[in-house]
Amino acid sequence: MAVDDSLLVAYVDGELDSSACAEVEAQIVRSPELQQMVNLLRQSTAAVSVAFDEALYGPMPELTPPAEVFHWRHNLGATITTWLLLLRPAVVPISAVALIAGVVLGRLWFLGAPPPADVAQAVDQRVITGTLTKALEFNTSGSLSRWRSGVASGFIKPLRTFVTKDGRFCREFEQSSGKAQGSKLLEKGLACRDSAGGWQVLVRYPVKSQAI
Amino acid sequence: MDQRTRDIHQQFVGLMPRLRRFAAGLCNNSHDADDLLQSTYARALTRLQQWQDGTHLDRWLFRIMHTVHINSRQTSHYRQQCVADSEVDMQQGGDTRQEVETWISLQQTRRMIAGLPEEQKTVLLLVSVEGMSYKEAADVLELPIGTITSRLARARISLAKAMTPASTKAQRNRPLLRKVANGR
Repeated sequence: MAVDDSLLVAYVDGELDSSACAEVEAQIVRSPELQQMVNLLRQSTAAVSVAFDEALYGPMPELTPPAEVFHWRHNLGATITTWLLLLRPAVVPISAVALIAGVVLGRLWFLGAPPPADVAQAVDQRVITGTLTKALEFNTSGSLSRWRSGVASGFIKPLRTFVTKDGRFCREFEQSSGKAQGSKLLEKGLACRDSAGGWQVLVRYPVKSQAI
Repeated sequence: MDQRTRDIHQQFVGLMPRLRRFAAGLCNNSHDADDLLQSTYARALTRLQQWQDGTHLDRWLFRIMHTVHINSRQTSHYRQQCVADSEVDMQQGGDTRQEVETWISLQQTRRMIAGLPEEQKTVLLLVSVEGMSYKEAADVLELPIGTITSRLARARISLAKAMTPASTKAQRNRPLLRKVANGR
């Protein structure tokens, strides 16, 4: 099987089935050029994935309902206000820059980097951390954010939000991770706002592990 | 307002950040992006009867946004072309060198994405920014999955080429990426 651009991109996106994935991987192991290309694709994808995140932050525009549903306006305004209070806008831009700096600059480390397996694992961890931060920042409880890195994928879902006695915002979350071929792991964790306005994971424990 | 309408409205509010990010990618300009978000919102509310319960609301809304965007480019209802925000309008996160460098690289990335053909850019935004699978993107754009795959590959390869650091290029006698592309 010749590895063409579409196949390589689909591999990086984790879109191949297990047999095609294994074939592509076998060729990547033998070819430094393909390894280099996979790294370049991952780096550029990481840069693309955060390129428009600025739009996620700050106040959302006030939307005007069409005339036939005009009486919605009040409710929408109230909902958006609540949402913004939870977001603590003063803090968000700082954590945003830190996150983007971490993800984008972190990718530079991969140039001329170690063996593919280690690279893949390190990339997975960065993707998971980035997705977790975003999910804790923006998702309402129960709504799920998917992450994907190469053949590994999973989701992160904030479960409930509460304020501790000393006024710290904390969120319980659920995280799944697994590979197309391999074990699946479901974990739960607890993260709280730290003094810098980011999220600090205090505990993370497995609830279910399933070998495929 | 009936319960169903209320539910959908609540879900729209939850999806607003993602829709706004997709709009920002399509327009590359925050003002036009917010106009597009407003138009999508208005259009979704007046077409609620087209929404089928049990299907994915987010994909339906992304599809509406894409349609509104394409229509606005074809008619002159909105500005014909989205104009990029000027550098000074972009929020600078701080004055440290690292932050400034990050913002510069973000600007370059946005410019490269803006330079892609419209159909490649749309697929790239859905898959690489919104994290959709190829199948989900095919569903949003109502296109065969093969079309999604090939458009995405073209977009991603050209971005990877454009983002290759100059130092890496200089280290090699032949352009590495051309070698790979010829190896198909």
